Amino acid sequence: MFGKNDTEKKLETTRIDAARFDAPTTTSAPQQSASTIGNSLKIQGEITGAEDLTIEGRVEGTVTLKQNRVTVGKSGRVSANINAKSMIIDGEVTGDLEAAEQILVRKSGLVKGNVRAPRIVLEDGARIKGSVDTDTTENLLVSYETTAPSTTVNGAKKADDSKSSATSRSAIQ
Amino acid sequence: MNTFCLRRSQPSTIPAGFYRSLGLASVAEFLATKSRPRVLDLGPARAATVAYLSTYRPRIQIEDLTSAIIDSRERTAAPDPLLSLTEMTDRRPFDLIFAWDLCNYLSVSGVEALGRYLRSVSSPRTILFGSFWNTIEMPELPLHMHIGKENTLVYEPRSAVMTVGPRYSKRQILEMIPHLQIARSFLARNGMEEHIFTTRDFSVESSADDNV
Repeated sequence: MFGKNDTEKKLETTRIDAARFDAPTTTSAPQQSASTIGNSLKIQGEITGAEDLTIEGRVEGTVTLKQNRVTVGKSGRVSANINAKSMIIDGEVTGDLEAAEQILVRKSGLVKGNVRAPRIVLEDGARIKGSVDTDTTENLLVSYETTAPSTTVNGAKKADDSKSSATSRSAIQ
Repeated sequence: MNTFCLRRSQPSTIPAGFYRSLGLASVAEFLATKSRPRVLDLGPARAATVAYLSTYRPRIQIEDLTSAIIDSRERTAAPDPLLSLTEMTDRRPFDLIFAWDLCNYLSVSGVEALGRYLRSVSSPRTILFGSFWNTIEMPELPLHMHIGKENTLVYEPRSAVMTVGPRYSKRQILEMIPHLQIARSFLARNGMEEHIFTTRDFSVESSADDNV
């Protein structure tokens, strides 16, 4: 009887662990955890994942979070191309920004690179040196065709998102 | 070339305001004929400009010469404001160029250097919308300007201090930027002159001024 409970508990634990990485099926706005790169951290490399990310430290490389929001805080210093669902830029970014929904550059933000999104919001005082492109229809078609032909415009999560989540954690030094 | 006029009037400040811009109305007519225009904005990133142009699905290149000029006036060790322009490697031509309240704050050689860069990124179809002070005095720093509703330009001085204006005449501007010709001119309510420049026939230009 005790052993059976152990087995049941093990199965239950396994189901809970799996549920963390399975795509939520009932809600349209799934709750996702968010990560923060603190202002004392420096990361060099490729950041991918399936959660929102706030950068207050230094990042060099690439940041790809196509289903999530990336926030570069005031103390954030990023030398990377960023591809995300949406972005808020309050710090400094040297690289190209591409978002599927919106990019907001706050008054303290500085972007040296190209900015591309269907909606681009600039606060007074925001600094951009590069191009601003709000016509992303061609690019959206290309991105969904090359990643998953069956992926819908609403961006249903792919089955390998669990691997992506693990990648984002292991890349942090 | 004429020297600056040193006759001073009573000092006065430029209050913030707006005016209906006939230059902007001309730009709107031009953009209506374009598909996916390439636009060069030599001023700071402005939400209103992006919003105004977004209906034309443009690709806007922002090269903030205004901030570089302000920086060069406020810091003695600041780099040449035209340095970032001359370092640009992408020389694909633009359809439309915004150059508001810039040349007043450049020397003759600076305007000539800017002209050489603009020629390198212009095609026979390029138009440039520029504004210049033609008053004896002008604000010591370029105005903060953005597009308002119904083809208005909203402006606000960055400083209350006035300085002597260079008062470049149309002839002087065309001598300094020889690849351009003035298609239309308008006098704004705040004392600025707006010019819509078109590109002269490149084939009659010599290759001697191709160094940028």
